[in-house]
Amino acid sequence: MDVLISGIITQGFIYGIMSMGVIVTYLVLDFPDMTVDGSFPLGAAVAASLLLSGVNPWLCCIAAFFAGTLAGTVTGILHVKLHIKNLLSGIITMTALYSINLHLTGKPNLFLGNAVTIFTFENGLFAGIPSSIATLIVAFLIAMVIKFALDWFMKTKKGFLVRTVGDNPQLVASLGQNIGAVKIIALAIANGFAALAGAVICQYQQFFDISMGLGTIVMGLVAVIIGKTVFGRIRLIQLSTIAILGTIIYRATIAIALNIGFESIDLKLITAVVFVIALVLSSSEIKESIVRLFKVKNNA
Amino acid sequence: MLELNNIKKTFNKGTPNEFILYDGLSLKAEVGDHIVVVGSNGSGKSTLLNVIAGSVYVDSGSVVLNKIDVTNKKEYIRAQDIGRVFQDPKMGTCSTMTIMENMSLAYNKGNKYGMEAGLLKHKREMFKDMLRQLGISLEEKMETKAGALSGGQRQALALLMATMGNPKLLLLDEHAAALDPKTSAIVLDLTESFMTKDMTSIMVTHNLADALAHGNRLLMLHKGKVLLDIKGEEKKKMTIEALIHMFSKEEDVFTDTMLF
Ligand SMILES: Nc1ncnc2c1ncn2[C@@H]1O[C@H](COP(=O)(O)OP(=O)(O)OP(=O)(O)O)[C@@H](O)[C@H]1O
Ligand SMILES: [Mg+2]
Repeated sequence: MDVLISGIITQGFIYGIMSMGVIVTYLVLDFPDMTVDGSFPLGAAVAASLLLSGVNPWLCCIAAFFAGTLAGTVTGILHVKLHIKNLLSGIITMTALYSINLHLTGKPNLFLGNAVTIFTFENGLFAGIPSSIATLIVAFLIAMVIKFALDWFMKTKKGFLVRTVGDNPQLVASLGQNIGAVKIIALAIANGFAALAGAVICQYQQFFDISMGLGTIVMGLVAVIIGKTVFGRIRLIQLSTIAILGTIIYRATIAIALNIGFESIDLKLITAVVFVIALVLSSSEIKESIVRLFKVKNNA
Repeated sequence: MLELNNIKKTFNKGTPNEFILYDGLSLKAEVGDHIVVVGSNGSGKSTLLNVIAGSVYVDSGSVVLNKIDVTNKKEYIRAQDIGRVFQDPKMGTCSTMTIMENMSLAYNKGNKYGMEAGLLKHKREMFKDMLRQLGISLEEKMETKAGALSGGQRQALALLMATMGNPKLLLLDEHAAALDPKTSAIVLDLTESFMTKDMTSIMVTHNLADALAHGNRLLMLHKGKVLLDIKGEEKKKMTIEALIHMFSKEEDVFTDTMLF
């Protein structure tokens, strides 16, 4: 396979992990969660600093995931307990995370150099396979583990509550369950995914950069909108599948744009344009649900 | 079973829109009481249910449920013993979930919502039987999302869901008002079937004929006060004409919508 193509798909799987979190907060929970812009680099910062102190790269991923769930929990508590509006709660956590991330890494960029990462294939299982393909396989496997875990969770009783709280919080209360607690769990999971994606991306590109989280949420949203528009009508398709496929298409769009002469400094501009195009082309139902999310409202 | 003691509630306290709704409202209900509440718009019927359920907190006075003072308890904690159906059918179901999923969700009330499978596959036939009793073919739509059902279908489902855990207290707020006459009758019949000796219910309605036909106690509210509270034989004998005659001196006790 072409290295370029395998790169697109690999990144699609990795960022897809983050998009799965975004689809949970935005489409299921009906919560415009800006925390992601901070929890994605948080995952990277945790992984990078642990890796450099010699921790097993897989453990680094797990640690990053838990750091992310903590960030989501903070946003949830700000919203639920202190009654801060949902959009603002995320922004506050995201702002705080910027400093925390810097504290974790000690400086704005960190190169992983020769540290062993989950994408180090000197010997073992992947011997003889081109490293771009081995990388793709590892990214695919991580994305699948998360996908199936999420699919499973959404089918549990707790998952049912998460689905209900976004649609009809009153029903959750009527069932004798704490609305706030359900929201916090969903936010924790979503940000855990974002942080895990950050940890994996950081190992993939072998460096951490403090600004790497900028626009993560927009990227996740574009991916979700694209996924919903293109695959949303397929019967019984899982939200997680929509998130991953949407992300791969988005990554491909970006790669094509770079290929036809745009520069990497144009990336955010391209993302913004793709966002608008995706929103315009999406069905009115998706458009409404996204636009509605960003109307400031308080539903603590 | 239920006691409201000297409830005071003022909305928008300290603002120009300050509005005193209840100034010492008291109400006692025993197990087996099936209270139908009537009253004009703004008389405080919905707020009464909200005060009991905990979606509105009172300024003073106490709410006692099953001998436990729940005045300061949160809505979701009180909900354990309470089943609720709202006027808006959307409030009682989850639109993005199928009938089967909605019923599974409601059936679990009272238990933990943990990591077990949410869908109660082994209860499927039981759910279908419950739906079949409604006589509106909902049992053939187990995989249909609640959001795709009509208002009446959805409300019937909501009522089933609210009563699944055998709540001790059933709170119904004009739950048949938005439905066409035929579906409204089905929903009210189903409601009647829950008005048993070991349950308590409070049903708000705007329709005097429905109020006289259902329940064993009639409560009339006006401007946050109880104007009339009759039960048993006295309620059975009551007619619309007698009610109107009784309150002919008071203004706005009845509105046209209540008579049809
Ligand atoms: N959250 C609130 N804030 C301010 N005022 C309120 C609030 N809830 C109720 N009220 C006021 O309390 C009064 C009683 O309202 P409530 O909804 O209980 O009336 P109701 O008897 O159910 O009327 P309807 O027949 O129209 O449903 C109304 O005047 C209403 O404006
Ligand atoms: Mg009302």
